[in-house]
Amino acid sequence: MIESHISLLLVVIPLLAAPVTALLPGVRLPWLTALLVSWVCFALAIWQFALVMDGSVISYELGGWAPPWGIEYRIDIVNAFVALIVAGMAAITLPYALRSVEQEIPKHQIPLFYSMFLLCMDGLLGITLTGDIFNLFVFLEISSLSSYTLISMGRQRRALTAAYQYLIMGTIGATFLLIGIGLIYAETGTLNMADLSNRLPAVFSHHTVHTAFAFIVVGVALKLAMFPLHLWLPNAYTYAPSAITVFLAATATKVAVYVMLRVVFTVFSTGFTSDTPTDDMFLLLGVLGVLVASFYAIYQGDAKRLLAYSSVAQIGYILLGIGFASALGVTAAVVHIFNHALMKGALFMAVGALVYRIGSSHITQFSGVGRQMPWTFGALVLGGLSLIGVPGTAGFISKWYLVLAAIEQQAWLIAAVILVGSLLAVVYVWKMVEVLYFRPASDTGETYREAPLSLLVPTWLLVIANIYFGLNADLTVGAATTAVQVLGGIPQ
Amino acid sequence: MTIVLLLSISVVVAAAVYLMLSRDLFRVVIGLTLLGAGTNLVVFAAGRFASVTPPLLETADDAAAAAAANPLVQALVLTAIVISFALLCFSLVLGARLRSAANSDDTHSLQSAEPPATDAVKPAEIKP
Amino acid sequence: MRDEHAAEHAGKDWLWLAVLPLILFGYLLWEISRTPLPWQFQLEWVPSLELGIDLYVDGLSAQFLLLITGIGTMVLVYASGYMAHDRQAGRFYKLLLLFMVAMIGAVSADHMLVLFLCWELTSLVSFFLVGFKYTDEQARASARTALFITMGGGLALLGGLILLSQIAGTWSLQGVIAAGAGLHDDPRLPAALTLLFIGCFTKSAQFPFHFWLPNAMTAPTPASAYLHSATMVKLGVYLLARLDPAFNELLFWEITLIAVGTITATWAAVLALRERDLKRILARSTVSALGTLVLLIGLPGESSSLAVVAFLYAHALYKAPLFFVAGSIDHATGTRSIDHLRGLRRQMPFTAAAAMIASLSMAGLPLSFGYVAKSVASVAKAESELMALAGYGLLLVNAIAVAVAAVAAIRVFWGPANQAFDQVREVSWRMVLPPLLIAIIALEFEFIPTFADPVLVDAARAISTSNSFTPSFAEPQAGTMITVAEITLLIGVLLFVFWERLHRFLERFSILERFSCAGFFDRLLKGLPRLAAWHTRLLQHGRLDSYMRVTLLAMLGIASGAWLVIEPGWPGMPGDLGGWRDQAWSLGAAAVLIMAGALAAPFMHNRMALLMSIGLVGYGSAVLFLFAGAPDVAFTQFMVETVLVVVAVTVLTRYGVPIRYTEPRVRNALIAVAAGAGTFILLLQMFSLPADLGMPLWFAEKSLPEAYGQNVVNVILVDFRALDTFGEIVVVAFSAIAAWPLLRRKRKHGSNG
Repeated sequence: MIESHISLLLVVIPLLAAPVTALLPGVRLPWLTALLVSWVCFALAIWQFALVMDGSVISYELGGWAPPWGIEYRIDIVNAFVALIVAGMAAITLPYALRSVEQEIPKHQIPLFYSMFLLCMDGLLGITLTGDIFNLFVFLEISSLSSYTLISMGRQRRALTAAYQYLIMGTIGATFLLIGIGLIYAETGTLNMADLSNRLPAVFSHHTVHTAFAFIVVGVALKLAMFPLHLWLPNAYTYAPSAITVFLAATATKVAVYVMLRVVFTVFSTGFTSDTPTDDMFLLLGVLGVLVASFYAIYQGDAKRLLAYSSVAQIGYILLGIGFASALGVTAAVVHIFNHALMKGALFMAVGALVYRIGSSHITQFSGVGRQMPWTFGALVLGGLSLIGVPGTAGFISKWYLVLAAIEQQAWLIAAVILVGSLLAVVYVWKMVEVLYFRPASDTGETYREAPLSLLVPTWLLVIANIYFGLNADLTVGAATTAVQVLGGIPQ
Repeated sequence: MTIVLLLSISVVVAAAVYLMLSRDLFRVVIGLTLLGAGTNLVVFAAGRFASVTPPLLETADDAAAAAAANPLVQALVLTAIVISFALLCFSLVLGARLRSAANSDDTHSLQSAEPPATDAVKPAEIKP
Repeated sequence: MRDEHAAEHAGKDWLWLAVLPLILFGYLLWEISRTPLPWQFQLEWVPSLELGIDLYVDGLSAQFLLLITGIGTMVLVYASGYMAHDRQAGRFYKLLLLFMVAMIGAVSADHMLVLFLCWELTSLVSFFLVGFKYTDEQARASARTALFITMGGGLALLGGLILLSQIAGTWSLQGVIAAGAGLHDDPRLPAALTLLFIGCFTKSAQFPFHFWLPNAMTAPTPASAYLHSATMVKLGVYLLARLDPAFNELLFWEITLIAVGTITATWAAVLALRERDLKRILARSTVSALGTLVLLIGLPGESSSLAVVAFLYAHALYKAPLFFVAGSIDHATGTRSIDHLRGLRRQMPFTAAAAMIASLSMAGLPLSFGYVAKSVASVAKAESELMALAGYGLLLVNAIAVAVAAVAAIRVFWGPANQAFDQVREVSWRMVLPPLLIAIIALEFEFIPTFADPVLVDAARAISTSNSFTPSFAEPQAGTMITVAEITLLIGVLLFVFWERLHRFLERFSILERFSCAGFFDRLLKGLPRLAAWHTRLLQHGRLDSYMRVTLLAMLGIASGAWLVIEPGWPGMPGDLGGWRDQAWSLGAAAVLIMAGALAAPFMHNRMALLMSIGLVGYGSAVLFLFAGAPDVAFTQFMVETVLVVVAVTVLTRYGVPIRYTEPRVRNALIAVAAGAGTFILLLQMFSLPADLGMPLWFAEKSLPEAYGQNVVNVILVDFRALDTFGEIVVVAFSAIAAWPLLRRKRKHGSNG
């Protein structure tokens, strides 16, 4: 019974729980509700993933109306995988959020915070699971609206600036997406993505289809912070509450990447994109993103901001994988979606723990704190190693596949860029390490206790996941390989 | 008449873009509103203005006539209108909050959120 | 270095740790005598990546393993004395042991990625050891330099190894060597080798990456002796030697190694004369020795491989004791400057003895292992005549080595005593034994060459091209190279005698500092932040209007690009369909309303007027919807527009009085016009296509019989696409919830002030 409704439950449960959470009194109760919901969702997501792991596809017709007329939820390994990341990150961020949020957000806003958190998760899950492109837009707006709100809750005044900037840029992105959807509908008369992929080839030669593709790609690119459309991201990640930075960094851009994969490979397919400079654009912007954003990251004074730029760079890596448009490249991209969620989750959590104790995310404030908070520091170092792509960590696996994909296409320059990007990552990770560990503690003589367990345990869970998936890549790579076959449209 | 309407949609988009490029917080939000309106009209136009009769059915036989008004596009536009309305209300309020926090309507005054690049390890060497 | 926290914080005694490498050392010796090399071992790791722990131990690996464990044992013994009063000793030992593991992995790995992994691990440990005294800014800077150079080189190495594996089709080093000459024609090979060279040269401190090593002397002396002289810095040499059989026929390989080796050896030797810090002098001479090794690898001919292994061993066995000696002196006297150090033999007789013996070896005097090594080296050079020039360069290098040896053994320990050092005592046995023992072993090998022969011969065979090669040390031929040795010795002694003058002469060239690679690197590090700051201001400046200009221009560019991908054809003018002509007046009125509002809006600077004009657009759209057969949409639009205007008016007071900012109005207007024109073309294009009404038709047909609704739009909203509507309601509800606290907070704020 439940089995055939998993995907619907995944969307409906948080959607119904969100308003309830907003109305609950106190601090703990809303948190507990959100936590329970996220864990249920995580369990469901695992279940769902297990069902489609072999490459099968589950189609769920909402309201019993057959696709393409009704809205269809079409679950294959690709979106089950991304849904797993979203639900999993929510499930692990919420235990972390309790203490961190108590400190960062005024008490009366906390129920609203958890409510918005659930809504954001719901929006992201909805985007992931739906097979209808207009429904995707609706859920995109749900997740956007909630993330604007969540970011604006940051305790600095600048959080409002960040939220406003993100709102403007994000709305423009969503508008582009909607225009693209309108155009595509005008061409094909359908909104179902599977149906679209059948009907589109007949009209590939039309101008409107190309324009629609351009609008959708740019709209999604704004959401996934593709260089140079990433301009909203550093502020958003810097000034959002720590727990939100963790969640958004690990999931929001990843879901947008998923949409990009779907649009480029399933809906349009390489048969279309290979006639356009799309791949070259992805490669070029990917390379620029990796180099420029990593370079910026080196010279950031704020740890969260530094990691935010590093996220832009990591998205560059994923775009490279998409740009290669080969089985190996897209595998790398899918694996990196997962691994980057793990490593950035761990890193932002570690920085959040520092913020919890120190009250600032400015690196100069971190002097010598690493020796006082060894566990937090250790998590930061290990997460950093994964970010660099040191063998034995998850980051290595995806970088490695990416390098292989580059070699396969004889793209030596891009392979070199990937390696240089790693070197730059060494530099910016090292900056934090040096200040945290090698600098003498601050003159004020203030000492900081190790972060509380409720912050440390989720952080270390992610760190351990980073190591585990670095040593045992079968699960991630296996899933990604199947995903590439299921996505379709990629020459094997 | 179709062509005139298409022209007016284009003018809406142009006006929206002009307003969005302003430095004034309020005008940017209004530009966004206008862009939303323009987009909704574009989506509506995707139905090709093929009928002026509302898609109402007396009997099941009216189906073909009802389809001409493209009820699906109408439903989509309706959804899109409501969503953009909600977002715009929110952005109006957020903009107002921001304005009172920053005490300025100028988006350039938000620059302070964007700190100059520094070398955290050797802060002394960088002159901002 | 005397630790300020000294005595009261006497750390734990870690001497027992030395047993670990000792056991390993003994086991290795025993195993070598029992099981013929090579040994192999395989373990799967990530099969999908063809990644496995593949180990392959041949003569060369075995030689390194013996060095790592043997000298490692001594280093641990020495460190237990040297770090006795250091609170951080525990950290130091952990790092040393980790390093040992990494090093063992690196020299026994057959899988190139395992090699790389261990290689990088050694760099990382080295970084932590160089920066061990983290309170010292100089130490941190040196650690940073070392990390960038070796890690960067490591990445180049990775690139090179990946390319190499692609060319050879295997990840196995032995596989690459077996493929050998078959790879020479591949066009990718030069790139692969260049990257490989960068990797090896950075690790082994070859020109132009040599500068990190002398700076790395901020590490505690046991670490310097171990990492930065005996083992880690030889990894580059190791890999080059390992691959030599595959590539030594290549002119590119040969010339690069010989050129870089010669330049490094000579340049570093000359720079050694400029130093006054005993440890730095030794470091410079280490770089010089590494250069010699690279040169020897580059030399063709079979006896060169023998020279490589012999010199490699010899260097490890004399340089490690000398570093120990330098450390002991530092420990006992608190200084390493040769200006003050003299006549220490009375206070530190055992250390002096160790220094003497090791220096003999370094100077290459007869009766020392170094002598054997050098004579083999000259044989190797004699075999290839075109290397005569390199040979002369090496003459100077060797002469300076003699002088350095003399400084370490004679200048420091002989001569009149320095009054300041009257209270100095000999260091503890833990710090005396290791240098003395290693130096004596080195001497031992000279008297009983058969002792070292088997391992060295095996090692030499491992890196020589032909399988039939049977090297032997039995008879270092007399003749020419003895003469060479004598000349070298003579020049060396002269250099030692005139050390001071030479030093002062060289010191005048401070320009060397400025134009040195280190200076360049330093300026690079300082210049980059400025570049970053400038570039960030350029792109990420925080001005929203400019961000949007970028975004919109990107969109326009990409959309028109997408449009141009297909040969542009101008769409025709759309005609009026389905009764549009009949409604011309009402629809025309709607169009006029919309257009009037849109055209007016940009010119309205009064906020209220601006609101009214966009209201005009909204109501105009509603009229359009109403007459175009969409009454539901029209009513929604009316309602929404009204509420929006009400909300806007409510918050209007929160915004300030509008100011006309300086803006690039013309540019903005151009972008706006372009966007409008683009939209127009887009719409025309869209209208030139036939509409697919399949879906609406289906909805219309099912609406009444299956969903029981007469209004198809409503049926779609609440039934066919109910989830959209559900989502839409959520958005509205939550935007209200979200906006409320924002408003409320402001209100409170306002009432307070």
